[in-house]
Amino acid sequence: MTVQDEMGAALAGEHAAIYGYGVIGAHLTGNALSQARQAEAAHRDRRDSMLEALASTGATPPAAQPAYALPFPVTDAASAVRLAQQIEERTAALWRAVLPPASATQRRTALNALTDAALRAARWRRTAGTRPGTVALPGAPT
Amino acid sequence: MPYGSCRRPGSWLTFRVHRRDHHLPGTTRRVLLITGLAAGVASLAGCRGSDDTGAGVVHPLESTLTGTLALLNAYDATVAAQPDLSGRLAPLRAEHATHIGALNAAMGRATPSTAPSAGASGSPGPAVPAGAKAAVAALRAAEKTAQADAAKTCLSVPAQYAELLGSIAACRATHLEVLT
Repeated sequence: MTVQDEMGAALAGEHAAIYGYGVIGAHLTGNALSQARQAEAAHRDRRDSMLEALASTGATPPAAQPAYALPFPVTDAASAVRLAQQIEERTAALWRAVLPPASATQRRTALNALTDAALRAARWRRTAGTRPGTVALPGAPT
Repeated sequence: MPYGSCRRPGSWLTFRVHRRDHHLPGTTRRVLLITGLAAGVASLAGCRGSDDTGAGVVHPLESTLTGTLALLNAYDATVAAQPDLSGRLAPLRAEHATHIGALNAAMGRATPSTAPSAGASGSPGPAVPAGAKAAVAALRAAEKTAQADAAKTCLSVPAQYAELLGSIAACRATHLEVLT
């Protein structure tokens, strides 16, 4: 996979994450809802900066789908938190894959995105009651 | 230095000496040749096993491995001084131990079956501040430095190590939040 392929996959993941948080937010209240809103805003920022970066290279960035299939039905706060955790784990994996083929600047972007996703995944695990909620190798296949 | 043994081309020199022994009977010469070859192959295999990048060249993961071993020692020293923190720190320590295994594997080295701990290396563990709060703060400071080191290394290592370094840097960032 070229760096364009990996960046495209990461952008597609950001599109999906934004959609997912729309579903998640509808089932949360209080601190968990603020956590979801902050996460969604972070994914939107990342998507926007990627769109700019990809447009400057002349590449055609993948567009967002109108809807995405969810890995399981989201019906309550518990399933919403579980989906948020999975979204962040998937985002971390997508950005981790950008690291090897990336240029120096791209690698910095990918590392920041991987780190941010790992932080959010750990927070969602703690929200679900798992402590400390950290994993040894964020983004690595398990 | 772990690379010292690989830098010594002794086996190949021995092999050449054997080849010059033309006065030896044929069978003896063949035995010596085979012995020399076997030693040479064993020597090469030893070098390949450590993923050597050349004589005198430090492996790009060497400093990360050293730093991770130091972090592990810091956790062990902290738990030894403040046993009440054991439950809280054990999962984080285990993740550093996983990093050591992954780094050794990436460098083509075996990880000792008994994980290194404070004092095991022959040196006393790092000083631990008195009081649980101060002890955790000291660990957090160590994690913060280590996180910055891993992130910096991730940006400069050859492509094949970038994912491992990225995950290690990200993991350390999550530890910082837990130790707050």
